[in-house]
Amino acid sequence: MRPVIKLSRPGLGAKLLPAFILFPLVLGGAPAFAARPIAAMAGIEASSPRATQVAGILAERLAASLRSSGAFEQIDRALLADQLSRYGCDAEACLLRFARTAGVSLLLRGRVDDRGSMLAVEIEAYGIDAPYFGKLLYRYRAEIVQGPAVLAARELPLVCEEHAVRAVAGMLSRFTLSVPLAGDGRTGFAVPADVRMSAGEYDLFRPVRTPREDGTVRPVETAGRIRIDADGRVTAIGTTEPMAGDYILTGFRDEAERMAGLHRARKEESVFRHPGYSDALLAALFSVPASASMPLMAPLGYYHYGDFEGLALWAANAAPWLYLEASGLLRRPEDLRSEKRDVPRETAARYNFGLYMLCVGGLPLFVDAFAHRYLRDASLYQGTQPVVGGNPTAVFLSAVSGGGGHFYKGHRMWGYLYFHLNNVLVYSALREYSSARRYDPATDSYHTSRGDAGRLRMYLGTLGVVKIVEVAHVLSIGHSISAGRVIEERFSLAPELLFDGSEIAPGVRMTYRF
Amino acid sequence: MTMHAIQHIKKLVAPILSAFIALAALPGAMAGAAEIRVNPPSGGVAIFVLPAADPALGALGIESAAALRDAFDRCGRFLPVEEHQLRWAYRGAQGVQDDEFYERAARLLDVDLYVVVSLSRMGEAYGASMRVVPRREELRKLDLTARLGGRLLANIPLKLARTAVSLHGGLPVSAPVMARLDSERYLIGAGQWHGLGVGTRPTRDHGAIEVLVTGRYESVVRIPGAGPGVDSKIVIPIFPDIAGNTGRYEKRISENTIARYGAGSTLLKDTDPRKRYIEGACVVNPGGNACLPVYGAFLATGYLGFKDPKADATGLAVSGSALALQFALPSLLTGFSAHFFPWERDADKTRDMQRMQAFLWASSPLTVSAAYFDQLAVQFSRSGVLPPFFEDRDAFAALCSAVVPGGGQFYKGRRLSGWGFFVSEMSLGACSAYYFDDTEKGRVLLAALGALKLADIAAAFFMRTGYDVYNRETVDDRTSLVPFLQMRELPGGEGIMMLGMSYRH
Repeated sequence: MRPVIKLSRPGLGAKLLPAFILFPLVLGGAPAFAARPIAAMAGIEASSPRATQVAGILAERLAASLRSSGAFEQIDRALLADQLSRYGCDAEACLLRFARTAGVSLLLRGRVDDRGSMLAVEIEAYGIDAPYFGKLLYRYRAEIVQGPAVLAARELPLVCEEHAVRAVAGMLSRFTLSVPLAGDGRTGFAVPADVRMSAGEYDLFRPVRTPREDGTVRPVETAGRIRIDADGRVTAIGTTEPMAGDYILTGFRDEAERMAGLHRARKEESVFRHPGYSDALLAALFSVPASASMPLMAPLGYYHYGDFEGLALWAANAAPWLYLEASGLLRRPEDLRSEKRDVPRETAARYNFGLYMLCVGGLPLFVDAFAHRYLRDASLYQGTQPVVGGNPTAVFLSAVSGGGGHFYKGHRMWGYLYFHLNNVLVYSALREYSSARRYDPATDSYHTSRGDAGRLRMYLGTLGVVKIVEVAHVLSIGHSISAGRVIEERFSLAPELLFDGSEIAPGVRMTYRF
Repeated sequence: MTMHAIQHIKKLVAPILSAFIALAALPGAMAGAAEIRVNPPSGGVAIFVLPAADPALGALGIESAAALRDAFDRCGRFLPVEEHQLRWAYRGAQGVQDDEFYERAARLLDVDLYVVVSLSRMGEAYGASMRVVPRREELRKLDLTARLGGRLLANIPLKLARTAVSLHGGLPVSAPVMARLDSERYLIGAGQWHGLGVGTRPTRDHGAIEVLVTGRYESVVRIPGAGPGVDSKIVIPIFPDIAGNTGRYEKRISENTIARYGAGSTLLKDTDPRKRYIEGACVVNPGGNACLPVYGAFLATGYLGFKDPKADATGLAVSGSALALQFALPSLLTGFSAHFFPWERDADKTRDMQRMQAFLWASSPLTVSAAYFDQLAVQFSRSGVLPPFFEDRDAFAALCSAVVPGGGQFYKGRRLSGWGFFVSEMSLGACSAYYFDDTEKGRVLLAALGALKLADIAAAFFMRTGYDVYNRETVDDRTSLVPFLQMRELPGGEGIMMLGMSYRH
């Protein structure tokens, strides 16, 4: 059953319908003024006064971000909001009908939900024209954890701006605009002058004419390929000639990357002091005391800053290595030798590993306990942060310790991965490097047996490769300074029973969650 | 007027004006329409909330309707009727009373089902009654009346939404065929909103169909063969994500409950309750027990700011007995002939006995910690406050159990199982220490201890909390698994005892 809105008695609505059809035609007709796509911001719902404040700022920043992208014309927000609320048009279906009628290509709407300790932001973007036909093309979700400082007058607009830019950049990177080909004034076709398109080859799409031409979904066929030159003129590739009504698809991926990159650079400039090499030098000077004091200072640091997740992770991850360190340093080979007892290789390896942990092995966890807090402040625009933010320091930490650079940049999980990998390889190498000593009472001397040199080389080689990868990786990623947690779109897998005629077939369903 | 202004009008004002005129033509936006039938391709649902004189209930009604619309929208089967259409239907249904009013409004809208919500208030408690009335024969199984309640106003709409989500279990997409486009291509009334994507899909009556293009509510599909007739329905076995959507609302209900009853918003408003909790467990409780063993565990709970706390005598007796046994067991086993202190060994104290004694003495901090967690469970239950870290309760309970035997159970307010795990683990630990040198037996005992520890951690993680104040707000009474113990008399006069689990479906 198709949607039906029947007006059985000619009333005001029926009288208005011809006007509604004719009005745009009088002013030029819908397709003619769609040179640059039109974006409409349908408003941001809010669930509390605090959320309303955020929603207002967010809407402003979204409009500004869309404007700065240069990709869209925008409908006046205030006028739109007023009219939509006057007609009670806040449901998705109604908004989509409105957007389709108004010739809007992109419809945005959002929601700010006040959940006490945090604000949940959700922004949805709908593509109205082909190839979307009203589909939800992008959903941006973020959770802003609330502290008293987050909602301060200075920081709040900055936090909102960040999410607005990221939402618009994410939406732009997915949005595809259908550009109808128009006559070039002579015999051929061209893309409209207002549309920015780079020269190159494109697929040509041809809408299939159907009994239903009311703007809802309809079949689309690829008619062939065309080439667009620098002036926007169209040349067919192959036998298919373009026709009136054909269109091509173009995206805004470059604009999206530029916007996101620019904003990120601006944020890093404003929240980091950018100390350069001096901080790396300082880190080098303090690395041994920091590493040696890690077993005490790291938990105190986590506790002081209320980072209980960090504390729990530290306890679980550091425990085996701290045990090795303690057992190595408390049962020294020298003590065994003074008692004229054998020194197993394991004991010597543990002692060497204990020294390693004392000198640099504990450094990454020390860094994590403190850098995490600085980065959190930086992410919420709480002033300019010292110590963090420098690539030379990150490279130094990654080079001398396992995962130090990643902890320094706020990537905790990567940090722990490299930390464990590094420690396993270092311990294995030290085990092969260390010598077992057997006491010979007859000669009152020790016989030394060395480890496997081949395996030692293999461990050292692997360690070298891991270090190169780690340093390259830490250079390739940015600092974790997102203002709040951005919830990514998620895939899920679930078993499913499918009915195929009379048969039931087991299957697996992969869902892309919007 | 300059050319630029004219261009601007053409570009932006003209489309919006035409769209507003279109909005004006919508049902409910004007007074003149006499008959409107709204039957969206998805099948619609009308949500009616009974009016209430109490302003708080009025606001709750608005929230409830919004939450129900959200739930139906997320499940993608019944498109909620828009506000302006509802307004129009209300006007059309005037003149009849109560149930018939909503039935008539629903008939005017030609929806697939409608929901009537009534809200009530008794003192501090709020209640909601939700009646789901299907209007199509094939949806008869959705007929439902549910009653919900709770003390938190904000949770009522979420509970209603959770109930609405549960209605959608096993509902496939039933897509109407809206038009035949050519010999094999059809326009159907199901799209992205229903969970349909491009690709091949099996159907019940038409074999595999190919979805060529999808819109938000409609799609173009290719159906080989004779194909269906226009206005018939295609059943596509795609089902709503019940677990995901229910989990979403349950998470919100849980967050609201913790925000209201958490220690941070009740006992310790001006300080970080998590730091207090850790300081209490790691510093105050050991100190208190050093001064006054066992009773110090109760005194230490005062650090968390309980008003008028009362010691639980049973807990103190159990923990006191456990502690006394830990110190006295070797003496009891050796007829008080062995030296009392574990670091002293004599002829009556074997090496095994000394090892066990060392274990028992060394583990005494665990006993006073268990005593502390036990007393905390009592105080939190009595005061109707949820402990710190409750938002991460499962992980934190597992962590507690990893450190203190039964600690996670105590944290979740399950004292009996907490003491059960504590006594079992400590007994196994003591035996393992005693038989440590006896390789076979010691190994078996150690393995058993490890297995028990893992069971303790897993149980702490998965166990539901024992705090009534939380369970009352969060547990779905309609579907929860409830244990029961019952006495029943058979017709012959013979009585039977029944023990089991009931699950209301």
